[in-house]
Amino acid sequence: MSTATTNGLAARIEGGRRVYGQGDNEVRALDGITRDFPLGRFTAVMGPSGSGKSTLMQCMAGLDRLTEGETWIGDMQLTGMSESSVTRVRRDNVGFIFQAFNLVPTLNARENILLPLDIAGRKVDQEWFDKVVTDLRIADRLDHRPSELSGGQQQRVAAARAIASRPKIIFADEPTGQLDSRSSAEMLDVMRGAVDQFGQTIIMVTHDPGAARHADQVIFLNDGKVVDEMDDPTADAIFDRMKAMD
Amino acid sequence: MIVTQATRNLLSNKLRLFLTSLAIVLGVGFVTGAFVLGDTINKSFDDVFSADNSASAVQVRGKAVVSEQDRKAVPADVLDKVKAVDGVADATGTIMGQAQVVGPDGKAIGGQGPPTFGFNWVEGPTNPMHLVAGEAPRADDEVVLDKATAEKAKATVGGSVTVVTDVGPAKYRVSGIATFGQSGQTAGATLTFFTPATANRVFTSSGKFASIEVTTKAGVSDQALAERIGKVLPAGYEAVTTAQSAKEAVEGFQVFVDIFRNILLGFAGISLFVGAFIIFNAFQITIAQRGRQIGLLRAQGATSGQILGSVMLEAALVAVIASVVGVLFGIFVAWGLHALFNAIGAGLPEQSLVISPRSIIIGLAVGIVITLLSALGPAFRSSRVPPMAALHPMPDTRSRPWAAVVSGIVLVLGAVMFVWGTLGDMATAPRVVLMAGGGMLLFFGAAALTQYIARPLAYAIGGAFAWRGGRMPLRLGRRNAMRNPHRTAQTASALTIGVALVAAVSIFAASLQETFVGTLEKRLNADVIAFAQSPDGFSVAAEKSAEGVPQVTDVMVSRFVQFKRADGDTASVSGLDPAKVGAVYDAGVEDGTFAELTQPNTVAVSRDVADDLKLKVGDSLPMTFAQTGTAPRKVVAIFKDTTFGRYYMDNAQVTANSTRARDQAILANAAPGVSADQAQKAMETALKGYPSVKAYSKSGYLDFIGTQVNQTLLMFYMLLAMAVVIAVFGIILTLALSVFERTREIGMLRAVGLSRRGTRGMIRWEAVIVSLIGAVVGLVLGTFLGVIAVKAFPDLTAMRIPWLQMLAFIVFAALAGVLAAILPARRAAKLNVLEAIATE
Ligand SMILES: Nc1ncnc2c1ncn2[C@@H]1O[C@H](COP(=O)(O)OP(=O)(O)O)[C@@H](O)[C@H]1O
Ligand SMILES: [Mg+2]
Repeated sequence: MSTATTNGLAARIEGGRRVYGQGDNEVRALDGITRDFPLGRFTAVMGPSGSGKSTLMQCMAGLDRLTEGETWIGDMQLTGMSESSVTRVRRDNVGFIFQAFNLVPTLNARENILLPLDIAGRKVDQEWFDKVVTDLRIADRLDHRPSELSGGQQQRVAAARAIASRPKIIFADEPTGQLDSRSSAEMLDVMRGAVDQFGQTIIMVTHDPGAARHADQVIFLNDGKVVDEMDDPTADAIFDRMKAMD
Repeated sequence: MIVTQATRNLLSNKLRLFLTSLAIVLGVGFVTGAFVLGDTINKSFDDVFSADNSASAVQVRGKAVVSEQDRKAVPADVLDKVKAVDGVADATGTIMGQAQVVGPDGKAIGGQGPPTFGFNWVEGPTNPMHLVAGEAPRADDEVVLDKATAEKAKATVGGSVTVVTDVGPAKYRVSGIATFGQSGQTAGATLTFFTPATANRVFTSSGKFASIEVTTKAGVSDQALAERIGKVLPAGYEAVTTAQSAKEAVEGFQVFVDIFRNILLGFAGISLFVGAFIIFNAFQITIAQRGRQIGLLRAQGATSGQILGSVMLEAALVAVIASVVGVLFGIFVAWGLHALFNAIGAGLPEQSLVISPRSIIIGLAVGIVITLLSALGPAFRSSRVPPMAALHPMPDTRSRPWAAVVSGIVLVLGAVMFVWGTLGDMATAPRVVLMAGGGMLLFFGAAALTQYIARPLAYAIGGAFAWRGGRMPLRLGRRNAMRNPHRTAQTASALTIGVALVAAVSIFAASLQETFVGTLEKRLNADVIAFAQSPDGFSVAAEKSAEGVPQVTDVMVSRFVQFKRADGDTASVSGLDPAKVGAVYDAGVEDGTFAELTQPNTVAVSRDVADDLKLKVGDSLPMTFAQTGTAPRKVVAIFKDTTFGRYYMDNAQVTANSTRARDQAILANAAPGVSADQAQKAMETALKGYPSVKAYSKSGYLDFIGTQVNQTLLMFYMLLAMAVVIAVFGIILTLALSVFERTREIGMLRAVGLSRRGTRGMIRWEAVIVSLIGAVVGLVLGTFLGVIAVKAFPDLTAMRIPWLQMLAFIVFAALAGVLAAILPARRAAKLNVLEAIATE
């Protein structure tokens, strides 16, 4: 049992191992990762395909369980928690933006954005909500169903959902992967803004150095291990580092 | 390639196959079961009535002027005439009446459907019985019993047995035990044989016979002899070959067997109709889910014909599997029902199941055709999926506005046809076609229209549960129920049919109860009602026992006899005691008076008969009786209430016009100073010797009538419940498919914090809302059907809609929804979030 302190941290993983399969088929998606994610920081996770980025996010967000090691959200240790407790932690403390298929088709944009708050029975900060939807240029699309929105709009609604409830931490797995550059830029600006204005913590997986450059820090994964990190990155520096890794 | 595709689709989801097939299996099962059981029962009656069992060759009897059962008795001198005809070897007169054998415990043996016959024992070749123990009855107090009856009554040769006849109960010595014909089967009837003298006395036959049995001399054909005998018979009598009369007897039974078989077929039809909705729905949903896959096949060059073929092939596989299983199930159903009927005393003869190729072929054909027809629509739709569907998910097909209009027309047409078929004046065949066709169109129309009200209804129902806190699972469930109104309507429709039929039957039952119990409550003034416990009534001798009871007064019996009207309709006229009727029963005389019924050749008729035949008091009504022929009768009273009958005569006149008078009821009041309870007890004691009649207090009698009504309808409820169960399986199927379809969405909800419980709640609410939509529409249709059905029976003078029961159906529907949701909800809650949200 670790006694590591989690003061001032949004999330933490210690000795994280996630192994798929057995014997010859064994894949170590995460191979011993220990890392702190301080509050109010925007972290980008990069690495080649199959390096374990998604697995890291999912394990830390409580969607998946580590084979070995421990994770925390704030000071709540997820390892060993019951399924329903983990669900509650997710509901109250975690926001998600996935690469696609983020929205519930029966709910309109506004309802989708408010969904986590509704499930938790919490009230929305109306001022913040208005700002988020305005910045994401979806204020006039709030009464539309996902099927009536473009891909970019859908993705921005998903971002609004994650940001509007001001969770302790937002996990975003390639949120801009299928967006055009303008939508992509807007989304990153809003995410950056949430970090700067409200001290929002965000962990974002991305392939795009242009996206990763908005983060405070980039960490590089390879074969389930953190192989490097870079503070206040620029697109060029990231690009060079990525090239070196291939 | 198409074949493998179809089998793979089919086998890929065994749950879907099971749920889809279930309704067809049940429906086909009932079709096959109805035929197998009908054939089996018919075969056993064939055996019982077979001419082989009869020792005689020709039968002489009164012509069937009024009915097959009620024929003019044959005077003794006719027997002498018949005996003198050339070619007659032997001729004997048969005396026949009702003989109720009583067991050692004082309970009646048999008589719950199959008859309780008493005869004279005849010597010689015309006797169809074979003594297996003892000898023929010789003394006046001796009887021979059939073997099965003797066993049930625990009677042995030399022992004694009590038999109730027209002269009352008496103890007899059992001189012998005999079996009937070749097979020894009597189809549940009890047979008692007396000496001719005793038979004549106990059946008050005054020397007349029910029929004369004749055997032929060698070299004379039965037919020729029958013709020869016919020439010497007085008017009103006929001679037929025994083969002919046996055939008629079998046909008489076949009518009942056919009615029963048709009821079973009706329920089979309902199951299949519900099943058709479920199959249609299942194929519709899977094809919607496979839109992308089908588009891909199309993009790669599959023709729309190939797609159509592949879907129909899958349907054919379902059809064949389900129909084959259904036929096997049907044989089991027939076996089970046969055993069940005997368990409740129907006394069906031992008979191995008659499984004719026809039963199997019809079962298979019905199952296969209905499955294929149900799948045809979705299959055509799938063949129209464009290759583009591979790239873009297909939007939900929007209903065209004219579809609503067409559905509305279908609904109205169905309603009109049903009303016409139910209330119109026509033969049975067009009536059944109109009613069944109209009913089906009504349901089709309603099902098609339900999609237009599914959204607002789901919204309203969801809103009705808002007191539950308006929490997320409810709101999500409501949204799910509203998202695809077409599907919601289809799913709900299966339940609509079941609920509508159950509701209609409940309205019918309530109105029946209300009519009888309500009217009786109001019009029956008797403190004690002794009522027949068997359809054959009870011995007229019971009246004397009742009259001797000092604790009662105003004792009045009610007996009846059949007659024929001038227009050829056969009806029943009840007897009453004009002096006493007023004290025990208020028939609501509107014109004239019952007192005049003591005058010869008089009759009282109900208001509806009077209106129908344009009769006034003083007019004359010709009535034809089997025993006495036609005579005009003066109408002396017109009354309102038809609970006990539409025609009344004086009891003495009823008796004078019938040979086999049986009583239906004895009404009486408590004597002064005697409580109603004491009077009922005293009557009960006095009638102890008559197990086919039971004395009730007024409230006890009302309960009895109520219970009878309910029991009659119980089978209907049970069979209809099956339609509801099938519908619930349909809901399970749709939900399971929907959960599968929404895997990603459910994963998303779980990811952002919807708990497993919440997920289950969401599915449950959806099921409850869909069920309630089905129930609400069903109740509306059922109320319509029920009201029309009640209107179709002029005897049902009271119309009652049992609101409380209707409310209970709504609650049951909601519970059915909860039940249906269990499995799909569990599936949804167990979804692996990661797999659910994994991008492809
Ligand atoms: N459910 C699974 N079963 C087996 N192997 C898996 C599973 N999920 C991921 N992996 C493997 O784990 C490794 C890391 O996967 P992932 O975290 O998705 O990588 P990334 O997101 O960086 O592309 C890969 O080799 C992948 O094949
Ligand atoms: Mg990934």
